[in-house]
Amino acid sequence: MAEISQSMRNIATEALPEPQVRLDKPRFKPSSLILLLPALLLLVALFVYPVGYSIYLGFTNLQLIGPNSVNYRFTGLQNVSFLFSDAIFYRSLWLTLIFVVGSGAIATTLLGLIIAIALQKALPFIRTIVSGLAIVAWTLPPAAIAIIWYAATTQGGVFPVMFGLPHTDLLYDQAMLVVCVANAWSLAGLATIIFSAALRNVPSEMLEAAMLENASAYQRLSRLTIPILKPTILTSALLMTLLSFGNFTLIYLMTQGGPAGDTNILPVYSYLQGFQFKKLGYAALLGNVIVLVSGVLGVAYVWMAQSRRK
Amino acid sequence: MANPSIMADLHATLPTGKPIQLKRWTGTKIFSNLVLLVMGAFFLLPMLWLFAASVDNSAGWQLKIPDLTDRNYIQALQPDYANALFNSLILSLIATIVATSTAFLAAYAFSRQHIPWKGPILLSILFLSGIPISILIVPIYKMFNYFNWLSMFPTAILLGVTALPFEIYLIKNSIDAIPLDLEEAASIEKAGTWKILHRIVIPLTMPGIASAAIFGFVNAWGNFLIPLVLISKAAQQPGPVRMFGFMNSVAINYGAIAAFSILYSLPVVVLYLLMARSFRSGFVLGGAVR
Amino acid sequence: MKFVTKFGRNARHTLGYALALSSCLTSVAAWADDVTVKVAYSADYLMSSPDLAKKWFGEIKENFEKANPGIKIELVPIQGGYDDFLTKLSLMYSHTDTAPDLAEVPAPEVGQWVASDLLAPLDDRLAQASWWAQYVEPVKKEGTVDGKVYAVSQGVNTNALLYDRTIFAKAGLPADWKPKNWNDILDAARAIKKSDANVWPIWLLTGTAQGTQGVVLGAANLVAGSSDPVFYDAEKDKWTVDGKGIREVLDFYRTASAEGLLAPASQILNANGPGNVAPYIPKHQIGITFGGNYVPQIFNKVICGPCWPEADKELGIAPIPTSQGQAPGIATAFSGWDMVLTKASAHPDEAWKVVNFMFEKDNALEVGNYAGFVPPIPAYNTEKAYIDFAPGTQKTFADLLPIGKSAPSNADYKVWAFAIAQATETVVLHPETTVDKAVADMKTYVEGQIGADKIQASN
Repeated sequence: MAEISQSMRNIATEALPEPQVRLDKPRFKPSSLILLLPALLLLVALFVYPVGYSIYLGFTNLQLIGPNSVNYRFTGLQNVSFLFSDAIFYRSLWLTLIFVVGSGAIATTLLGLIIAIALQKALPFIRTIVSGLAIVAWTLPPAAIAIIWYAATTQGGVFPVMFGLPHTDLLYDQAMLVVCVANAWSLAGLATIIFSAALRNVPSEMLEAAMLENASAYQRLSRLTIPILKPTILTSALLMTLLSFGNFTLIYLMTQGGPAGDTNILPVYSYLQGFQFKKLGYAALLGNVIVLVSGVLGVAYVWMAQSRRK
Repeated sequence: MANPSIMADLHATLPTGKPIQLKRWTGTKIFSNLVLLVMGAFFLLPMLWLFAASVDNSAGWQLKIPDLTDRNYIQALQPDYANALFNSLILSLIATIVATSTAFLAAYAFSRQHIPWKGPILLSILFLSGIPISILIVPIYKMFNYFNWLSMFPTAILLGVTALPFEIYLIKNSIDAIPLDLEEAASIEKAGTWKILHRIVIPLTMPGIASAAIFGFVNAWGNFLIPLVLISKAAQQPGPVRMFGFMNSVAINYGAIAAFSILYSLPVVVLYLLMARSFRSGFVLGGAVR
Repeated sequence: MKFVTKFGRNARHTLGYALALSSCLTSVAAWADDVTVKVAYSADYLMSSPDLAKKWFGEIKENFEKANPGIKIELVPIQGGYDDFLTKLSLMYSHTDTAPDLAEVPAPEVGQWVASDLLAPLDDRLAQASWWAQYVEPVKKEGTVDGKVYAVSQGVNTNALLYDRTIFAKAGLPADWKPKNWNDILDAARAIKKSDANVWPIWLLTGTAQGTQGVVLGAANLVAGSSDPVFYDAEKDKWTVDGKGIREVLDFYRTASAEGLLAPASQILNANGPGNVAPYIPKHQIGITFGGNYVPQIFNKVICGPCWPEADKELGIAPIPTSQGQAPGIATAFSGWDMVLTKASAHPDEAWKVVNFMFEKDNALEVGNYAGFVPPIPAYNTEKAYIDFAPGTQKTFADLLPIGKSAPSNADYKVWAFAIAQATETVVLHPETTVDKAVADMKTYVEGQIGADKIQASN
């Protein structure tokens, strides 16, 4: 008897999906804890502590090596006031936004979307080759990607020759552009996979109906497919933004933030401060800023997603 | 005049019982394939250097006709380097298994069960993973040193944890897409949670799990700073760290770097091809951002 | 029954602990006979190939342990590039149980290690070392911080002008070129450019991508030969960001770039610039290279990157002149790698024995060649092993050492180096920039990073 009523209660609480009206108030079940426990343990032990400590480090004067590497202390807002007066920081912030939003969110997502949509109509061998190439691009070690793109954009490299300007240093003339393109190149494979999967979930009946109504391919695309994909587009944009933040090795190896700070995005600047100038405290503060920026961007995405559903 | 592609479609829908397939060359098909060729070129061109340099005896960073040799591949397969590839494999496998299994359990809980503040928790975990790893390395090193974890296995677990937030997100969304009726029915039949997971949820979300697994694998596979700092024995270092053996203050062995990079990409490409089918339908992210 | 098995279990545990403890004690007792000295070094970056690093340190370990039973060496190779090596080493040092007993560090970093109170002063020990007495003064000074010696150099890199005799002949320049001032360099470059438009007249590193080594191999040499060779006032703790010397340096870069006398920006700005230059020289692509002593060594049979047997005949060498020819007439910046002894080392005496062994003549000569160093002891400069490594140039590079200028071993040096690298980069990429502007930017940068009280202008 008890079992049956228990399973009835289970059905009542578990089986009803949000956001429908529940039969009783939703409760946190202890069994959820068991499911969550492994991930929770790992995250708390290996993630929360380092992250929390890093956040704290942003307000200390820790050095990687030097008088303050062993004896460092909490310095309150000293790093913050340095931050506000740091002209390089502001430029870095701006460059970061261009990079993660322009290259990450917009360019990569667009590339992935276009390729995924085009793949639907592709000849089999083209499909294998192109998606294979995109995947390989995603999986190459970052150092290799940096070398490849360096080779492709300097004097005599593939792209300057293609554009008919073999003696131009594309990399140093248009550093930010090159680095953005390289970033999109390295992440587009992932975006393609995401969208390929999502496209399979576009109900084919609707597309067939649209075809019968004489809708052109373009109309089918813009009126049906894209709106259905909108949530995926936004989530992919968010994912690509976060991954672009992390794509620091690429820029660091290609230009080290140069020339003259043209590609000095926050992660690169943070590394420079922490591991070249050894000012780990300030570098950690820059890291905190990165989290804030990604948080703001994330909230923006969530807001965009929710406003669309209304 | 009706659009010829629609006419073709109509022909295709005449009762044959077969699903609609555009068998003839239509405008969109040509356009799509052209676009793909352009994209393919976009991906291929920078890689041309990689392929050329890997078989070039005197590889520099310029794109040129290679002076054919297999010397670079032989160098890249020296015991030290081959061992590093093997270490990468072990690290990434452990990381993937740890991450994906725990992510799956957590994702199921987040998706199906009531967790207070689940939205904010998920999102904040995601954003916090934006902290540059170069900063995190300092407290992590302290911690690992304290517990005597400066070796391969704990490092592998850490690599798994770095992919955990994304993996939870991905799997959660593919679980969200499964209708609840099946699980309800199973509950009514008095199936326990584990059985439901095992018999129903896992098979249906296999694509999502596969895609999260590949993400975790690639994440661990390419990571270089964490193993460099946390693994104390040089013989246990993975591929990306070992690659610096070809670059020193005096000269850079571009050919060997290229060969090594290609070898290094192969396992992931193989993995992708193996999981291709279930993989492509796995990244279901519709409605993920609530 | 439960109680009994519990008690039994406890007994077993106690026995187990006792056994473990006793075996531990015996092994400690045995272990006490065998002291282990940990030696950390850069596996990939320091020497001309990781195999050479393995070889040299492997030989040291083997031969030392044979000659000194009871002392074991534990090699701790650290992989990765320059930055990564330093990062890992710094982290290792931040914990006493992971800190090695000995480490090989780049000399400019020593100051910060000393400031962290991690290194032991070596003056007393060195007083008894016969080899230290023979060291050239500038190198001794390089390892000295606050009057005490903390680091012993295994060798340094000096820089000079390497010129291609074939290209010079074509341009009508002497085979035995000895420029007296910077204008001579520019004139020669102009002649080269006139005679062959495809050749790069001057190879001179610039830009921030190469880090501080790029500065040492590039701009620092010019600064050392400028009118302000001393750019850091150690007493007042002030860095020179403006002055006749700095302006001379920037003007040199600017003029060379404006007239198209420099190698392409993508080459000299490249993060791997130092490693990229060698393949171009045998191809007669570069007229005048501002190169380190290790460059001609690359062409010999041992390193072969690429092999160029005619190197000593084809490549001429001339010391870098001072800007206007002022005394001492020649200049170079130098930077080396040093052995340091950890202050908290459990076995400092044994570790010092290892150091002494490493600095025995044959070992020192071998590491000097493997790592592309100029030996710090003038007597070694005439040794066949050293000279033969690159017969045409080794002696000249070694003779430069007495007048060489090293980088201040100070945390803020990185900021200053970055600023001057950035300034030279700007004038190279945009030669229309005035020297005034470049100097102003440099001043702003350094001021912003380390404070207005730490900068000065010299005149």
